Amino acid sequence: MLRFLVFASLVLCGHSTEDVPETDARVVGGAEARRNSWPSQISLQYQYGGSWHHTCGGTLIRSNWVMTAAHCVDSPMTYRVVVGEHNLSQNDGTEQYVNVQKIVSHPYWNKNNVVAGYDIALLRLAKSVTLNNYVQLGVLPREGTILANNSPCYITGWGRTRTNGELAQTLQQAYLPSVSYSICSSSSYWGSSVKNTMVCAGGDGVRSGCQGDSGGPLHCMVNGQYAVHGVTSFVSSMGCNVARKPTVFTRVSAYISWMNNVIASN
Amino acid sequence: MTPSISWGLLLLAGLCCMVPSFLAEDVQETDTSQKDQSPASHEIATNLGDFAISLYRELVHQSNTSNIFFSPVSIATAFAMLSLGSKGDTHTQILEGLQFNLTQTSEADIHKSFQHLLQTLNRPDSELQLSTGNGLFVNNDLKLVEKFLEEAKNHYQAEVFSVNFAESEEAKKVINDFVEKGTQGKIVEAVKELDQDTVFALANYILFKGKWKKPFDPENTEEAEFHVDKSTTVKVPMMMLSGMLDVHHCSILSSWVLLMDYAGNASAVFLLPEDGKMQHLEQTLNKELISKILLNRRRRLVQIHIPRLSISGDYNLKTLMSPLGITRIFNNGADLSGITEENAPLKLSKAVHKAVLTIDETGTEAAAATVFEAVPMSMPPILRFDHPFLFIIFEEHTQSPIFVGKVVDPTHK
Repeated sequence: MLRFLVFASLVLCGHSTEDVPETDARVVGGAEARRNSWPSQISLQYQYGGSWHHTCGGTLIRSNWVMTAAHCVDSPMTYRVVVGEHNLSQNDGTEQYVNVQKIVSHPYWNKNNVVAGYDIALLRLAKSVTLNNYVQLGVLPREGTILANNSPCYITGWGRTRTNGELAQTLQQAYLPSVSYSICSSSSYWGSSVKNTMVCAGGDGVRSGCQGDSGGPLHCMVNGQYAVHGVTSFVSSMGCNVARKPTVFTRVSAYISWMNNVIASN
Repeated sequence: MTPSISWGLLLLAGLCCMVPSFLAEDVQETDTSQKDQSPASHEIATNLGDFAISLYRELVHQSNTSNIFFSPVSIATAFAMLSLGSKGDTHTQILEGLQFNLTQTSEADIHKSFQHLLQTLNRPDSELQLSTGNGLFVNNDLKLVEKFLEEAKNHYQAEVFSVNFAESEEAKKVINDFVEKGTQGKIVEAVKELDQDTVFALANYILFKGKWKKPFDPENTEEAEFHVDKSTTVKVPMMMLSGMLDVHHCSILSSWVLLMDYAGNASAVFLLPEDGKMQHLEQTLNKELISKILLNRRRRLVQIHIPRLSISGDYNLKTLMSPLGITRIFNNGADLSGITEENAPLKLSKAVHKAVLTIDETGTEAAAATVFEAVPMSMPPILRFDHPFLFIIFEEHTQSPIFVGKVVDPTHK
């Protein structure tokens, strides 16, 4: 028991220290994440033309369940999840590939209306993955938690590093401080497009999520611990890194009960 | 001395502006409400769908390695107009060749539907950028039936030219000038040669350069490879558009389906077959599937790459229409006595169809300026129209196929 507690403590400490950014030099405006910095991050891929294509990120929340965005799985394609991934085009030696067996999108999700919210889905994997240094469960916030404005957060993913650009090959991270609902829903920001069931982060015109990051996590530090507070959802059609158009996430703390119920009944 | 056999040349470069109303003198047409006309137009759309696909398959049969581009509406309306001046088998073959079921649709309804369709396409306030024109070229010693001439002018907006076909170079120039002027110089030398005994010619043209509701950004256009076939690749300017578009994968057709709206109530359906599935697509496509595609919009995030191109079609309609059963009008047994008062039989010795389309980045300014929406951030499927694909352009209200095209090599005009 004590040994386990010591191990858990070491993991948390390691996670904290390694995540202090050196520089944010270039997600859009991000930098390559250190290998196994974000072990709950997954790559969601679909099969087309005889090969697999990355479409979204996601968060491993149980050894056989992944949390992602509902819009990521709107199309009836064959999907798989890759955990322990770092370089999409190389064999890192740490990957585990597992098929998606079942998709449960939020019942109120409307694929023609992303700004209504409910952009969240759970994927049951065909088998449980093996947890290790490179594959961990994401820590979720307590139900109802609201982030303070300007909380320190990181978006991670393999999304485009430039509007209309190429996917990143290695996992990227970008520092996106949170933007409170009252600011984000003001008329000079997103206005009424943003709902209280969402989280905003970034909006400096430099750093943002971009295509390929959807479904992936927004890791925010609260009380010295990172938790996944957001599921990457949408940006402006004018471009990914538009000033005063923060990246918008589904607020995880609004869906804790729903997720627990889905997992319990499937 | 009048030749024993009169020859008629029909040049179809496009869309008839108006279909003449029913010519029979003893039938008094009553006005019908707009509501009543709409179902009739859809009747025509249904029939033109079958006609368009039959015509397409005939063209593929003639050559499956060439670009294809034609206007089903244009060809159908020209022949429907000719049916008003024809009788007997000549008359019957035309209507059945256009795939009208004469036991289900009356002839009066057919012509009424064409009239309504053409009024829709040529509305003065329409944002559609269709250029169409019609010319009747009559030998200076031939007298046309007054009724037919009147209808051609009033409903067809035809211009009538008296020419001396004995001077074939001069006659050819008159016809070519008419078409060239109407197409802003896009179609030159529409007629390359005239048969010695031609006494009657009809010229139509159609030119379309629409504006997208959701335009491409020219800055995103760059040179890319287009795979004509397994061993041939050409360089083309490839336009790019990313956003919420009407895209889905159709497993029945083994193809990706893209809908792009033009300003002015027209839509283009692009069909991109999976590798090796073009023949499957061509054999499987039918009007029911197309109707479903037009009615079921499925917006999703997608990135498309499509060639900027100008495509034209130039066809011998005798070769094309004969397999559809329209043969009598082209041979010595033709009965076109409703067109000319001469006792000598008139014959369609040559029929040519030409159409021109430009696909480029242009969109409506207002649409571009006001685009603002939230965009989900999944990595969009990237559809590269970098190998042969089909497209069909429809008038939205009637679902009439204005154009059908197959791009095998975008560098061929």
